[in-house]
Amino acid sequence: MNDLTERARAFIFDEFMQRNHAPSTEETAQALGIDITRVRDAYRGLADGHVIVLQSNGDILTANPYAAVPTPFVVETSRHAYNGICIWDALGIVANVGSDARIRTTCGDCGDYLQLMVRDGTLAHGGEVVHISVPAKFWWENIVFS
Amino acid sequence: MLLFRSEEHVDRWCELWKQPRGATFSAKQAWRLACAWYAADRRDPAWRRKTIDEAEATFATLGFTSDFWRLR
Repeated sequence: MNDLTERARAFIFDEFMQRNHAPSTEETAQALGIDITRVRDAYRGLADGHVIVLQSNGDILTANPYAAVPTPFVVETSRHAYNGICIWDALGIVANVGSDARIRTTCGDCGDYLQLMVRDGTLAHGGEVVHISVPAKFWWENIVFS
Repeated sequence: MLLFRSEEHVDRWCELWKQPRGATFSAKQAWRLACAWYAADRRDPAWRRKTIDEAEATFATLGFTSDFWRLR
């Protein structure tokens, strides 16, 4: 990973963490003071390295654990309501920002509302179960489904 | 990776959507996994994705040792 890619990665994650915002290539180019074509290359490099996932138009879909689009896994902190693409990433956002949080989601089967609370690094839960159907070595064949 | 009310709800979901029963674990284990995977600051220039060996070692420390969690 070259210096530009590292700078782009740092900027992307800072934008998600601080502003709950997925920076466009234009915004990243302006922030880093570099040409947009180099930013596109950096985004592709990060995607090839499974650090981010891009949409077909080149915009960021996820910078795991953060999602750039609305999802059924909402992470409420005192500052933002973030989105994760799965329950692992939703919990990952809480771990990454390091604050208390409430995760709002629904049961994958019946649709009943479920919430998980994290206070002072401790998870309060009611016996819910996490399930993943795709074996680990196949996750990146379709990371959004996984 | 979805959250369910109970194991019975996982069974119903797998049957309805014709999905294999993969791995199930508690929300508490998922929280430990999330902390192990995502607590590091990805803005840090020293941050790197886990290697396959590191990732499998992380799974193992959490008790995820079946073939399901193998990465190669």
